[in-house]
Amino acid sequence: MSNKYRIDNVAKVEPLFNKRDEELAALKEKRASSSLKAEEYVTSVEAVKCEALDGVIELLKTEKHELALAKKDLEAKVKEIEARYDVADKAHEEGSMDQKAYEAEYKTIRNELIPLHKELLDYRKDLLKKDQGIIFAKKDKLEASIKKIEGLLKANKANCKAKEIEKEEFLARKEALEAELKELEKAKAEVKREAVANEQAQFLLMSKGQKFGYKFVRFFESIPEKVGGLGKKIAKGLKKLVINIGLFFKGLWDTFIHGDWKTKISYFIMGFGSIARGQWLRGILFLLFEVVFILYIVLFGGHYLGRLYILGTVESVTGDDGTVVYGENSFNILLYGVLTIFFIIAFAYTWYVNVKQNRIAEQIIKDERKLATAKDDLRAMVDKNFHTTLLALPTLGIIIFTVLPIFFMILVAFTTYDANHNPPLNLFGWAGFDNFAQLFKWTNSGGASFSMTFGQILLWTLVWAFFATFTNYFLGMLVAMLINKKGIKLKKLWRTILVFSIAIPQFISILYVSKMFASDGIINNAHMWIQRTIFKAADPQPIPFWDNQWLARITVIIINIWIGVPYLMLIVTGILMNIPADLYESANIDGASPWQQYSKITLPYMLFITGPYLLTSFTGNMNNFNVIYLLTGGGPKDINMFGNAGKTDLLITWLFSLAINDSNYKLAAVIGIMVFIVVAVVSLVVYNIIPSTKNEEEFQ
Amino acid sequence: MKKIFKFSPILAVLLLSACNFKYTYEIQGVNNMRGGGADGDLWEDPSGIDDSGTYDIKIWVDEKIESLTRSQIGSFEMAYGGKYTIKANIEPMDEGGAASSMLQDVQSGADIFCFAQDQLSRLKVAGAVSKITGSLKTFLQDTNSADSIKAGSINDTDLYALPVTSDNGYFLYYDKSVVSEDAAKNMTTLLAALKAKNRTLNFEGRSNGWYAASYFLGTGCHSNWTIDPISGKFTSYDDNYDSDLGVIAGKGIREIADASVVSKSATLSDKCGAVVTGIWEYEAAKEQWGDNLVCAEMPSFTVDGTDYHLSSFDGYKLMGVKPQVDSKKASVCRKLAQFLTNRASQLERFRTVSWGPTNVAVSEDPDVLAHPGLTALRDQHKYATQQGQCPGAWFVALQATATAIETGTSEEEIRNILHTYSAGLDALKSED
Repeated sequence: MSNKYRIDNVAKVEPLFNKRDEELAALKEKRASSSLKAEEYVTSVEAVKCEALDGVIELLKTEKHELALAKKDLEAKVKEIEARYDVADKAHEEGSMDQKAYEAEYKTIRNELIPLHKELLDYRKDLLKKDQGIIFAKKDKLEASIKKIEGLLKANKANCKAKEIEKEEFLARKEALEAELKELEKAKAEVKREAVANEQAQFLLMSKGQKFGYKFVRFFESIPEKVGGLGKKIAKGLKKLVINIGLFFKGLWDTFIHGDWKTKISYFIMGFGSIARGQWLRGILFLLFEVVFILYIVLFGGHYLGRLYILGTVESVTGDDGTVVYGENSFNILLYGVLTIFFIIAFAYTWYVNVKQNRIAEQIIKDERKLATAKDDLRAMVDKNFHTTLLALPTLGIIIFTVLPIFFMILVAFTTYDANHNPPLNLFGWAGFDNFAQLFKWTNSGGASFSMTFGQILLWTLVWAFFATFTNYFLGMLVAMLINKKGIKLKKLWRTILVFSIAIPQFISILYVSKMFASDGIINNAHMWIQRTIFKAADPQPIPFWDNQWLARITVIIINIWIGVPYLMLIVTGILMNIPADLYESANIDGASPWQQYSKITLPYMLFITGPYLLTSFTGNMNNFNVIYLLTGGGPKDINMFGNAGKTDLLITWLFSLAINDSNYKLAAVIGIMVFIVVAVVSLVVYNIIPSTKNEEEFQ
Repeated sequence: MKKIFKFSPILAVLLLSACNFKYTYEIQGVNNMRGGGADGDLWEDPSGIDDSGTYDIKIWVDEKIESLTRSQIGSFEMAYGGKYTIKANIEPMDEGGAASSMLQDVQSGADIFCFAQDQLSRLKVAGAVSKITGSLKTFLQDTNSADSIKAGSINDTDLYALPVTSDNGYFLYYDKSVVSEDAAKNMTTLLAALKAKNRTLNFEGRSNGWYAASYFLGTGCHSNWTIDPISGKFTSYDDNYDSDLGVIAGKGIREIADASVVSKSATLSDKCGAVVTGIWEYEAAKEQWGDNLVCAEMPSFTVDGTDYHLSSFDGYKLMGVKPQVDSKKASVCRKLAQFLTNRASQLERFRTVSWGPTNVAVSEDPDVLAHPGLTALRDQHKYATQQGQCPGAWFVALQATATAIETGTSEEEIRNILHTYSAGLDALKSED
């Protein structure tokens, strides 16, 4: 209890709390034996608690005072020592102290000051802690008062019910108590603000390690509240959604009931209202859309939509004369069914717009304003609403060519579409969550299990992404700093050479590098020649770069360094030039070593600026198909892994071979969805943690 | 007026190119009449269907025989007396690519295409090849070798493709200035001879399941897979690689794990003195070694004092006909496929690109008998095994198994490796 209030002298505070506990227990007894009325009880409880807390505050204030005095003494001491700096400066200027003695004196003074500064820092921290204790105590006092008021309110209500007081009195009391409560809440909020400010102040004084630890612990502490908060938000959101849906339908119904006959007919013949009111362009467009939609459903979409639930039942029949009568095509059913659903959604929206138009038009007419004519509409399309006109086609394109295929692929993960269920000859059907269940089935009937292989490959994918990103990052930084150093000649030449490797398409360069490291490639030939001629080995063996799983993994990471460093070097060079040079100068004067300069100036600055870049690089490397596939093809292949997976396979390359070599589209789709989930989770978590997205002042 | 001047060059070019195309096509057709003609080459269709007319047919063949196929189609039209006019769209596509393209999208794939026999079951399940029955089946059985018909069949009874070549197996090529005839008969002496002259054996016995099988098949192991005739799925297997015989084969594989003398490749390289590969490398080998080139059957390997002759797969390339919706087109496609795989066409392909025939009559042609590569294949045929239908993943499993065996792998470890292999076989059966 004393720790909560940050009291050092525990002995002094114990009697306070003991007294309080005794009195509280006595009060409880009295209440239980009904010798005390409710109002008196709550008032007494509050008085007892506040008394104890007042004592705590007093103690804290005393301790704070003592600390302040000690701090003052220390500050005076520090000032004394710092005065010696001026003495030394003067002596040096006058010439009575030579350079060496001058520097030595500075060093001595600095060494004396360092522990004193630390002590001062500790004092500041302790003072803040005492303040925090006082704030906690104040908060508890307020809570006790609030509880008292709540108790009084309750008693008031009870009294009114028991007819012990008149209604007016009850209401008056209630009002007064509620006003008091409001005041208390205000005070509580004020104290809370003080608490936050205190916490921030304490945070700024923490060392780096402590800050990290604090953030770490806070992160985990905040998870349950965040989850709870999220849950509440979702519940609220759902409630809002349901209410809004209800209102929406009510609105539609109202418009129908209260609208005129033109509006009523518009519900069935879209655009009728607009045409009847003279807005013939809009009306005709609506009508056209409705006609097209109905034709589409009747002639094409309706059929596919109807078969969507079963994805086809009519099998194909092959004849002995080489002919085939194709049955239903599950692929087409799925594709066109989804397209039809999108179309229906578009139609529903357009219908709603049509209804809204009618309501707005009626309102305009009621207000005796003019309705927009066709001419106005056309003019608006190229003027006021030009953005709509311009974006209409691209939006449509994106929906059809990007959103629809993605949606389709997600659905494939819930079907049985694989090599044995390959349209047009075979049908595939819905598999529900079976494919995902395979992810969690730990063993398979002997042999490789999908879930274990998935776990292995996921682990390697994360490890690879981590190493690929950070090796490139730090080595790129190193190379950039090296080239940037004063005294390096031909800077542009070195940069150009490094950039060459970007110029060659990865497809070509990676393929020949892969050949270089093969058992009969250049590197091994050289190695074996060296073994034979220099070490006189009898039977030199080539290094199995691509056959040994660990060598393959390391080699892949190292080759990726060669590919990625030039990019990083270019980025870093630009950023390095932006770090203010006076930071380095002042660091030099203060005697910082090169490593300290790097770790305290360059690195934090770089990490802050390239935080988002690192994140995108990490997620990009998780999906880095080119490097892995062209170098090793995912090998060396492992018989213990499902679906011809290999030891350097990433999720994305495994997905590729499952789809192309095994035609196992359903599992490939499942992996695709899992890749998305992993990347999304990593991105969101990391993005919210890294400081680059937070306050820059703290960084400074 | 001006516009016509502007467009006339374009028009002229268009007209000229159109003429040119037709001209060349016809000339080729006339010049290559030697391929056509009856006398047992043309299958007589008993159905009496009237399928004359013009047809657009898409054909995928290897680029080496692209123009040859074009001329053969011209001969086909001649042979049938102009009853059919074929508008052939011939695209060069290697056999592997043809199979995978058909599997990805059957409907937009070729009507007639060539593929290697191991893809047959997958293609059948995907509905990319149509069944051949009745008199055409009998005709093919009469004119082609029994093994080639087996290669095109599923469960040995249902024929799904026409045999094109028989030379898709492998054998040993060596440079006789480096390796003597006796040394080439046994793997140990072969490797020693090569090492002495600092040359390599290019052999994928440890890195490719197709080649690795030669050791296991040589000791008598088998891995037979049964396919459900209706669904085309692999329903069961009979495999004894995980046995003493398999261990012997594993011990043999240890020998070729010496990477200083065995290079993992199935093509010639500058340093190689011997290579195990198929007939497709014959021209390159001839160019590299000239008169020193010798084609021979596979060597034997010795384990614990006993010699085992390395086996190999007898490989066949097949031609598949896609099931058609139009029965007339289906009929014409089959006739065309039969023509492209008949005696005359196979002979012509042998003469032009040295492809080994499956046609019995052509196999007895003196030139065929004299071809060194084909002779080696024939010699190796005694020890070879029919490839049969097995899941594609089986080759990868075998590759991983062979790769796991090194020079120093003990017998115990070999047994464990084989246990892992056989434990993984269940997963290769088709799931539903």
